[in-house]
Amino acid sequence: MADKKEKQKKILVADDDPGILDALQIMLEDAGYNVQTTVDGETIYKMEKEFPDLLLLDIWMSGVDGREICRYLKTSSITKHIPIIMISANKDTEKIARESGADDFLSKPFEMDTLLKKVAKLLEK
Amino acid sequence: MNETTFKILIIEDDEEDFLLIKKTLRRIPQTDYQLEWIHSFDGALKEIKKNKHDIFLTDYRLGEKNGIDLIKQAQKNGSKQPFILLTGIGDEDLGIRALRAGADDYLVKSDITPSILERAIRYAVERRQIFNQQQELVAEQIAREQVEKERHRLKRIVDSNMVGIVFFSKEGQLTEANDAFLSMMGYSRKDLEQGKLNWRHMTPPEYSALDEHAMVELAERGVCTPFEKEYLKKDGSRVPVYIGCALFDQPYNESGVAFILDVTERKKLERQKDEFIAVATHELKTPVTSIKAYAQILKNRFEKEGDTRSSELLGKMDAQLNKLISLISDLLDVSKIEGGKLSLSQETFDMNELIKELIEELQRTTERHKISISGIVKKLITADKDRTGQVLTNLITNAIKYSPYGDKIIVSASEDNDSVIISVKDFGVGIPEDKKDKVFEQFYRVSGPKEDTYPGLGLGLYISSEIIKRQGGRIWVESTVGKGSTFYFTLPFTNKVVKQEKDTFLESEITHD
Repeated sequence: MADKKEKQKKILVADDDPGILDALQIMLEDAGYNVQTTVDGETIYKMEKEFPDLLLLDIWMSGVDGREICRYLKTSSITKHIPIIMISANKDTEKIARESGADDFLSKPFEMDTLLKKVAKLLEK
Repeated sequence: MNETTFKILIIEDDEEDFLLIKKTLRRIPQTDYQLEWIHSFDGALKEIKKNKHDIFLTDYRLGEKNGIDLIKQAQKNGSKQPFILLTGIGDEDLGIRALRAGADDYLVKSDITPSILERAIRYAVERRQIFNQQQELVAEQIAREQVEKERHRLKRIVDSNMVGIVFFSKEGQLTEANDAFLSMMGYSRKDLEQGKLNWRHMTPPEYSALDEHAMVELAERGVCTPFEKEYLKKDGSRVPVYIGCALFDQPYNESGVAFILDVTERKKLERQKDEFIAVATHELKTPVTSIKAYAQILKNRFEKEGDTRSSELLGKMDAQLNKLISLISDLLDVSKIEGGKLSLSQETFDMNELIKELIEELQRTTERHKISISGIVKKLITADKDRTGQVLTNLITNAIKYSPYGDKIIVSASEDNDSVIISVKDFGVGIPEDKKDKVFEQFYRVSGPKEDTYPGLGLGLYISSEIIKRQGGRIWVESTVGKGSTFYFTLPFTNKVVKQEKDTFLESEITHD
């Protein structure tokens, strides 16, 4: 079991809505990923080691602008390799994600299949 | 020789008496009397109306009627010439009655001598001229007072300051403005008096075309349909207004009056409404997102456990959630359109593939209808792929919804030199001729044959038409009630309406690696 856990890819989900955060966690865990969640954007800024293999990032988090976080991570040499999928209920998610340097985007509400395909694709690299 | 001429109408029912008067007048020297004789009351009124005599001599007795009544009636008809009443017998009482009725003098026939008659005529004409002049002066005075009163009333209207009112002359110069207008625009009365205000200069350049349109209407009709525009205030900021104009003179030159209503507050409310809808739909989406996610998790789990029945139930739940999501999206789209925030991207794609993908997806939502494709678009198109797909989806789901007894839907694609032409044909309820344009309006919903309505907010076609129009295309419908409808839209291969953007994120960043 512990062995399996080590092989699991680690995904960090940041969203300020507990319902969505919970559903995303179960969805990704069911698909076999190791999932960590946060409702607080600040914790992402404070990451120093044990970086996730992938970050699911909400564009609008209370207090912190997801776009700022994305730009910050993508300009720092130690984090820029982390694939980021931006998620938002905004229909312009695609444009915002592109401008912030994210690898992909997902509009809320989303299809589970779409999410899992996007995650798998980015983790394959 | 100085000969005076008097044109006289003699109203007398007795010819003998007329001839007597005529003879008397002949004996007056140095005066030319041009006589006309009429014997009836009604004939006299007609002649008097012609207004070509200097004086009227009327007998008291005129058949059934009398001279006093004639005088009264003639003056009521507007006659301003003098009357002399002639009576047969000396009756002071009759004389007084005649004067009261408006006669200028009265003479007893037996007393008439040339000198008495001459004097009476001359004085009556003279007195009447003086009287008429006085009357005119009085009338002028009354008219002046009336004009002054109207001017005062107009000024009070202007001063009521409920709306901005300005008077303008040629070239757009503002000659007068009320305080409401000046404070709306941030100018002082001194600025106005110094001739600094000109509506053309106060109009931002993008409104010139709108103004010219109004000027054309003004030149044709003298008034223009009120419209919305913006003015530049003295400090350079803008104020949204609703304005109506009228020109004064005919043929219409450029001077006139304009009523200007400040609509800043209304615009603010509209913005608040749009923002509220945007926030509300966003808030609605959040719980729906997690409900949908939970439903899909459960569906997935039941599938793995082999519980097909439960899995199918959750599939149905997911489909219903998708309907709810599409309603919420429509509301959000409308708020974006209304707020002018509908952004359209540009990407180059194959229309045939988009149609194929969407039909595959939508075929799953109906068992009854067979959705088929005919025709092909040879060139690639540059437009907003998602939004264009949204239009197609809307047209096909409408075709399904409004043909409950139909069994086929035909999507056709073709092209001309610069546009693709797509049509979606159904064999459903159809749309009456007079409702064909209304279907593209907000909130309009087609009724069934028994006035029953179909589910939906009535926003889909409105949103679709906005998406198509904003990309330089056209959308319309051909329909026969009871036989079905065909919706068409065109899209230019490269549209110039939307600004060019980079290739989409997906293509450039993900799928091509």
